Amino acid sequence: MKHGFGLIEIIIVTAIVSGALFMFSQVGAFALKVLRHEKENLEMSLLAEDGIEAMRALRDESWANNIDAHDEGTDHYISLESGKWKIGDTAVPPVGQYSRFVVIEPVLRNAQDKISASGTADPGTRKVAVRVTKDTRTVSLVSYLTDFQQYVPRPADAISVSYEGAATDANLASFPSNNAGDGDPAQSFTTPASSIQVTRVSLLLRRATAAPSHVFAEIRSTPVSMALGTSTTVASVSIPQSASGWVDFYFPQPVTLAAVTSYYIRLRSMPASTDVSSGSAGTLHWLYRQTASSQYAGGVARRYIGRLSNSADQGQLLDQYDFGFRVYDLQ
Amino acid sequence: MICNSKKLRTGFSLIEAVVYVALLGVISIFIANSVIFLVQAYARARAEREVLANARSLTDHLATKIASSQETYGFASQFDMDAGQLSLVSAVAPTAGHTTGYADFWMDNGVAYMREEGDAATPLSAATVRVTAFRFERIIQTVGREAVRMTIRIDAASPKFPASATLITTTALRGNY
Repeated sequence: MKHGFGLIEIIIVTAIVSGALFMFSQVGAFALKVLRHEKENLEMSLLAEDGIEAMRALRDESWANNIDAHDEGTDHYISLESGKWKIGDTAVPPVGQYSRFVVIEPVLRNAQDKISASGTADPGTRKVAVRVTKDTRTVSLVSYLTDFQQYVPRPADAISVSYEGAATDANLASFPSNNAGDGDPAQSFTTPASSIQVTRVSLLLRRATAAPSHVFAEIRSTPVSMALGTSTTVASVSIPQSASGWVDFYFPQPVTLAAVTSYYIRLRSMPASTDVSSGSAGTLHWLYRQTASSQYAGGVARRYIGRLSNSADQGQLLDQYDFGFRVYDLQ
Repeated sequence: MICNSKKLRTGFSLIEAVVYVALLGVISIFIANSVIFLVQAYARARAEREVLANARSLTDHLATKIASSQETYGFASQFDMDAGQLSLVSAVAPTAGHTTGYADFWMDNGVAYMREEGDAATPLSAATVRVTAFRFERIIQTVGREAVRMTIRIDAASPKFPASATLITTTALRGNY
């Protein structure tokens, strides 16, 4: 009678086996939680690095406007607009599921000129903390920025060629075309007596609809020859909507142009306005002026370049028209 | 009578058999479920690990290459699109007879590739994951200050155990600093 298993033994064995399995499953679930936690940590750390890099870029652009001008100790927000960082006091939409804040703090130096908790404020150094948060979790990166750029000769640019007289705000070029493949507009210009290195072009634009395609500019020898330089892309939302404004198109490396030669600034869109059903959406107004004899003597306007995917199509010459443009030369 | 009662107490009664079978059933179901859960947790953890490792190595690799380059090569790069392409000009590994070399990064069918001038294309991501976003934005804050912001999204290749990571970071081109 005492041989074999009783109910109590089975229950004990069951309890041990269940306990072991429960433990294993908890280990599995915990491992998964740790991995997801680590993934979020990586995402947050990289976003914080992104923020520190943004602050360095803002410092390089202007210490006075981007670093010195902002209140110390309060939250600031950074965003990327048309290939440039912006810093401001108004909250920006979160990046994915993470919010990001930047705090600029003063730096004090002691009698030995070392950073310390008390002493004299150093006007050329700031402590920058970038904080990335999600729910209750926070990742912070702290760095010190110095205004060393004031001691470094800085490259600058100035207007070399321009046409400032454009005032007509109308849809001349049907650009970007609404999936119609209507091509691109362009304006030619003539370089001055010596060769120039173009850092950027500025075009007088107005956004006529809420969300046209993003745009970029190219410099070409003819409307359809190979591009000599391609600018950064400008997000359409950053183009003024209520009134026209000068929109900068930066070239990552200055484009060298020969003296007294004609070149074209061709405005392009992404998706391409030259292709039917590419997804391109209008409309932008590139402000122009029409006079019987083209007012800007160095060049003329064109429209419909490369229409219907024909990359050799030079479009239509508008010999009475000039678009507003500025070409900047590296000093 | 004593003999009879002893005889009665040996073996299983029907009720005992029913209880044992029921217990066995319950235990079997519990064990099977637990084993399935364990296997699934392992597969999920493996998918997460693969995604994390690939995302990290891809971002590190790109950041190193971008930081050491002089400029982005605009004509061969496709910026601001999810299936983007990045072409870099660097003085770090120039080709023979030149002062600079080119390196291209792109994605094709869920795999990220790199090709340095003169070399064959090398995959940068494993077959266990899919690169679903490979986006580059060019940042020019001021004259001579270029940076590239990358957004890389990696998903597990198997849709059965979804795992995903989106890494966003910016690297300045230090080659021209």
